[in-house]
Amino acid sequence: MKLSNEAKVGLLLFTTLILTVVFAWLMGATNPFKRSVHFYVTYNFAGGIEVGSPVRVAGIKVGKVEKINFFVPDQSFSTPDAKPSEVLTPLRLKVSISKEAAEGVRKDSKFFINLAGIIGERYIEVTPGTFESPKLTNGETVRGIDPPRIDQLISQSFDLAGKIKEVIEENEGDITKSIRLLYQLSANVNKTLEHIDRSKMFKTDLAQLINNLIEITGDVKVLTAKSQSEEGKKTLELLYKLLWRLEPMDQDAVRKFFQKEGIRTRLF
Amino acid sequence: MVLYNLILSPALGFIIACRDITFILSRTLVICLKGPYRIREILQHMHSIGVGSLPIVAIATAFAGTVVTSEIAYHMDAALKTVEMIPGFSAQFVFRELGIAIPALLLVAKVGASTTAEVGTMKVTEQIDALRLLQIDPIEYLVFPRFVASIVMVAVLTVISIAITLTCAISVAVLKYNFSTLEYLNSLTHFISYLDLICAVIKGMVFGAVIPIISCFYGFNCTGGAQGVGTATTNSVVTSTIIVIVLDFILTFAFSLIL
Repeated sequence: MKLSNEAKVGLLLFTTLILTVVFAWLMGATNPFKRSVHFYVTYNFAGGIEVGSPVRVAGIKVGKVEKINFFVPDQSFSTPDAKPSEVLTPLRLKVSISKEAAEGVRKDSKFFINLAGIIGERYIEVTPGTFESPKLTNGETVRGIDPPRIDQLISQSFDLAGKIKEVIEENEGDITKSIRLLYQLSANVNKTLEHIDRSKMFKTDLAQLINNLIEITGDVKVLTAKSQSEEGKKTLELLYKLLWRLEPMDQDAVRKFFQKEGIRTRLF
Repeated sequence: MVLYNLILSPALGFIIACRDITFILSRTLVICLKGPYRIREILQHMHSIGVGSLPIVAIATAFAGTVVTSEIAYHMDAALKTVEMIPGFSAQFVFRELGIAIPALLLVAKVGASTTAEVGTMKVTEQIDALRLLQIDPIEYLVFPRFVASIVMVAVLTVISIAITLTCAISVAVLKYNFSTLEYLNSLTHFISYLDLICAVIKGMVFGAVIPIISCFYGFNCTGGAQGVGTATTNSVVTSTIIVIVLDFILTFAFSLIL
């Protein structure tokens, strides 16, 4: 079948029209099959979010930012416990999300602005709300959670660094002195340790001391084991009774006796 | 005399050429508004420009898309040690430059040259004078149908060439760099918006308007037989190419302010 020139031109134009629609769908400009709902989310600071930025519910991309505009909300928009600085949210983002995903978006859902990917793409992350909370309806306005101000953090760090520098400059003499003293102290400690390390006598004494300690702990262990035996328990009981019997007698004389005989040493 | 030959004469020639081009353009625009619309001629030229140029545009842009994607990937890998951004960069380049400039320059060479040769031959064989004798406006009969057909068909070929180039870029990314088609298309949306396509079509339409006006201007001013036709054709192609490139720069700069 041979097409006429007009038919060929028509076919070319039709193909282009289809391609244009495909491109439009691909780039998210339009989707005739999509059923979506839209909400308004307000922020004090949007952190670089743009029109077309994705919106994700529970980590899945389900929509995009349709429009961003500035507005002045009335007092009724603020929550009763909001501080005066929290009332004004001058940015309003119109976000559209698919109807299926909107089922999980409740009034207590949180709208975070997050950063993803190698190019640092900004997107809105919506956390699904609780069942108790009512659904967010089409066209409703909610308050988003402002992202952290990295720029502010940097400027505050600069401020802090400036203050530290000021303090150092003001107390330069004291700080230098303290550092010198610290240096001297560490040098002295070092010297002492070296001295200890070199001293042979200290080494032998220390070794002797450790040996004695080992022996003592060995003896104590044996004694404790014996005192736990039936015989030991009986002995201790008898001794306890004996001591209580002796109590009314001359305590000083008894104590002296025990001390003289060395019983205390052996028993305790 | 030297001053006249070196500066004044070319400057005067340039001013006269600008005046004539402006006259042809304004007369064509008036006909666009008032008519008569020669639908049959327009369709004939649309076929000649669009359908006739489709194969060369398709082949050239397909290879250009393949080469550019490979080059972007190579340099990205060498400099950044990653090829993750291929979709974004290649798509942006295709939508903003490659898919528009290549068909426009090809059409300058094909359609512009043929138009100048055709109109130039008519001029040297006094057919244009004959048209005037028959009370037929040469601009209405020769320029207007080409003008409309060229604007529509360059825009059409721009969209088609973008689609072909993008398909080849996706093929390279999928076959050579292990991207999936969906992954590519998903990344593409972060870099390209529908405005890019609109700007591309506008650029294509502007280039489409330039080609017949310049070609017909050189055709109308053709003198000296076959050699004159050859010279006029060469000058037409060179001038159109330069104007397309300069306009490309101006439009890119203008669109960069809104994109």
